[in-house]
Amino acid sequence: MTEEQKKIKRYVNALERRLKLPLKLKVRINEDIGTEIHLRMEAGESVDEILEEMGSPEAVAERFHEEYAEYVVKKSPIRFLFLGLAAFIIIAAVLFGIVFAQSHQTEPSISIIGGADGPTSIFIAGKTENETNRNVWNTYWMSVVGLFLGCIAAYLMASYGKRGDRKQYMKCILLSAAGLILSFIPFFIPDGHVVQWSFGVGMTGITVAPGVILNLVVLVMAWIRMRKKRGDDIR
Amino acid sequence: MESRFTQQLKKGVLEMVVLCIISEKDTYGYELLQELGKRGEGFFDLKEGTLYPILYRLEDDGLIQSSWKQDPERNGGRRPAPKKYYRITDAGSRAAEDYRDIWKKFEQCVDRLCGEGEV
Repeated sequence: MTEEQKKIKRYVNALERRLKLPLKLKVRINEDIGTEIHLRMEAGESVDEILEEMGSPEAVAERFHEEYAEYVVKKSPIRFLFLGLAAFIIIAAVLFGIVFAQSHQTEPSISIIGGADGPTSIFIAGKTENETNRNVWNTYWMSVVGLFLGCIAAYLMASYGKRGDRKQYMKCILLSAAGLILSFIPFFIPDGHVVQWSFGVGMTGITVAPGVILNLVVLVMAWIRMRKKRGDDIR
Repeated sequence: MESRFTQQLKKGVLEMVVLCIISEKDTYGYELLQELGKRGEGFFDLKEGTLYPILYRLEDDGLIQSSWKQDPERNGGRRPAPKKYYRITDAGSRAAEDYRDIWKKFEQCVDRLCGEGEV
């Protein structure tokens, strides 16, 4: 890549970062700006002259924002809270998982009545401790993944704001629906382990399953925004 | 720096002006900027951030359509960059006619209201 091409790429990338517009529009703008720069170069202008005449990426982005005021995407900073929470969940889940796996490494225990090799020996084929551990392990990870999906869905909702399109809200609905299902399944499995937070309020202890709550809230919000968007499109 | 009045007038007629220029011949963004600068008498020295949204709106409304074309190789062997040409559609031609009619009536009305020639 020549030095000129690097300057053009840096400029176009800087412009894209500053454009707070829907992705389709950003792609369209960058395509045209890139083409125009090359056409001006063919007309004999130097890259430096062209970029100076066009103005800084901030100034160019600002002009587009003025023309597209109704499309400007305002990303809520709260989205980083959900992203941080998602990262924390993964790290905490992996650490807890390692500790859990190490503390539950036992031989399968099978109860036997009578001599083990005799004709009267009866094996009690009930649930072994290993099966219980497996249920706990599997449901624990389901619950963790459910909560993780909820955090990702919440992050995306905060990024899209109220100006997302229907496809974006549908993405959030699918993620939070999957997260909700995964968060619910452990409740129906014997010995299921659900990620939960317990805290005291006065004399009462309250336990909540954050995966269920978060996914439910995001699902409902995304659904409402998608229906509203559909109504706006029809009008 | 332009007065607010000039800016508002420009905003109002820009779509019509761009549509009229495209109706003369197929053209691309950079050529349009140059044409507006050359013929605009100082009123239409536009930047990309002002022109391209107009083009996108006209295209989304079906008044113009775009297509990529690459000019033949020049002497020297290097292929020129492909250009996105804009061409006016039938709906665009009708719209341009309507805009011209409205503009004529508007101009006459404003002249009458403001007293043509009087200060």
